[in-house]
Amino acid sequence: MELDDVKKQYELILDSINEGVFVIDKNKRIVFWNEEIQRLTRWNRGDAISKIYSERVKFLKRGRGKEGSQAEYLFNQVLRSKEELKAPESLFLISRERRKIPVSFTATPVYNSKKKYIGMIVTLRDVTAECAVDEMRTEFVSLVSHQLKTPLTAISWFTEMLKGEEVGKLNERQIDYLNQIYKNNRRMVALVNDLLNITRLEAGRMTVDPRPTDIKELIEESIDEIGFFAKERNCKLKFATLEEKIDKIDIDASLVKQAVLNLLSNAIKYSKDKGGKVAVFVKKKKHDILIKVKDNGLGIPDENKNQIFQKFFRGENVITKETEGTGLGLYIVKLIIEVSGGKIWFESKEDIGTSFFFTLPLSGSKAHRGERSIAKFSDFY
Amino acid sequence: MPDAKILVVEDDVFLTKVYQDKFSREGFLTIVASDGAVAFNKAKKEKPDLIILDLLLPKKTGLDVLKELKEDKELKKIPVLILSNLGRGQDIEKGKELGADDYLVKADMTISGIVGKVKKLLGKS
Repeated sequence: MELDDVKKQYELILDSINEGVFVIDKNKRIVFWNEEIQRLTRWNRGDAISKIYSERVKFLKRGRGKEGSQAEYLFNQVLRSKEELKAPESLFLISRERRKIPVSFTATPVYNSKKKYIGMIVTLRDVTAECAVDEMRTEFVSLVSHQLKTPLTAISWFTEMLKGEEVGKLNERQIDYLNQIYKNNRRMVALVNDLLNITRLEAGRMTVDPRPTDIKELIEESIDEIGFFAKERNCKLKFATLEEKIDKIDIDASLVKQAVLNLLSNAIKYSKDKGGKVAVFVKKKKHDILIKVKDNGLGIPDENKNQIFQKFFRGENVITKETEGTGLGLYIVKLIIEVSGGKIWFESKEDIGTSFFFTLPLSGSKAHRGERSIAKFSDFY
Repeated sequence: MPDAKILVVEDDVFLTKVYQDKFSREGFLTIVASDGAVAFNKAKKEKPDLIILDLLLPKKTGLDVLKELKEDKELKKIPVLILSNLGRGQDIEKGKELGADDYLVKADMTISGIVGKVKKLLGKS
């Protein structure tokens, strides 16, 4: 085959695929422009070839940033790292008639046989359909949870008045039964809130609003808040602070507090029935703050260790002891710590206890403007 | 404050009954508006001491009702307590921006907690 035929054949192949593909040379000029990229950008091949890429491909990061600088930034990142780059989701391509199209983005630098940079291959995929499905799912959960909450509220308030003997004296057993109804109703509310929060976190629609926060204070507040629960379980809860003073870091306090509360309530719930002890430690490291929540409880069986952060997962040794858990608590903690820029892990021995560790970067969490903030988790777990 | 008059704007009949029962035991007078369109007129006619406002309402949203109330010379001083199950950051911001005195998520509140809030707001005004 002639060289021209080979070229034509490749161009035909690239024209027939469903991803926008273009190639730029080392001077940032467009040298190839396939069918789908024409459709996405609304720029014809003739208008694109030999133009500087930034005149034809403009991106916008969802929510903020200048459109031109975003493309520049991505391309420079590829050149600097010399590696393939997949851009985070929530990137919009701005078409010729200024329509915003959500796309996923992959850029691969090309080198010649002497390892010299000669250009870049960029593929863009239209993810409009995926975004729409995601949106629908989030909207659906929002709607359903709102619809569930109204009757749950009515049950809660009527039960509260009844067990408060506002409409007549009750005997002990009647009050006990009403307390059970009340508690279970609060559980339902907690479950609905958990599901709502998970959907928001998973869809990246949770607002992250980092502000200077004293992490020691945050932990002390959490311990105060959950103290009643520790008392109820005869569990000793203490803050074993090792550091004199830790400078404030930029985190979303309401999110991180929720993570700490979830870890504490788990630790209390699964600590020893008699002589339960839960301790929280904080330590400043070079790049982050390390927080540890330690219990002396049931521990996590070895065979469950790799499933512990999964949605709806509950340890085989705790299901029979604690029938109340939803299996969502740790999953939420993990999502929260990740959106805050930290890491989470644990060490555990069965019948000895578990320690959960998580970090928060000293440089602070990245702000994210979702349209939702965290729904209050119920005080009952 | 005995005989304080409270306008409850709420479309759910069960929740309305809770408010009515509880508030009457607390010595309040309760008036009900079950959709957004009648809420303003009832407020104008009855001049309540406090308004409890739901957001998702038939005919007119709670935020629109709030806007109307705050644009009325006579009614704008009446404290408004938003009680909704919408817990979205943007709704809370909007509600406070439009002049609501507080924003509570129903499912997170006890009814006695709400009475406490109401008493506090009435004491203040």
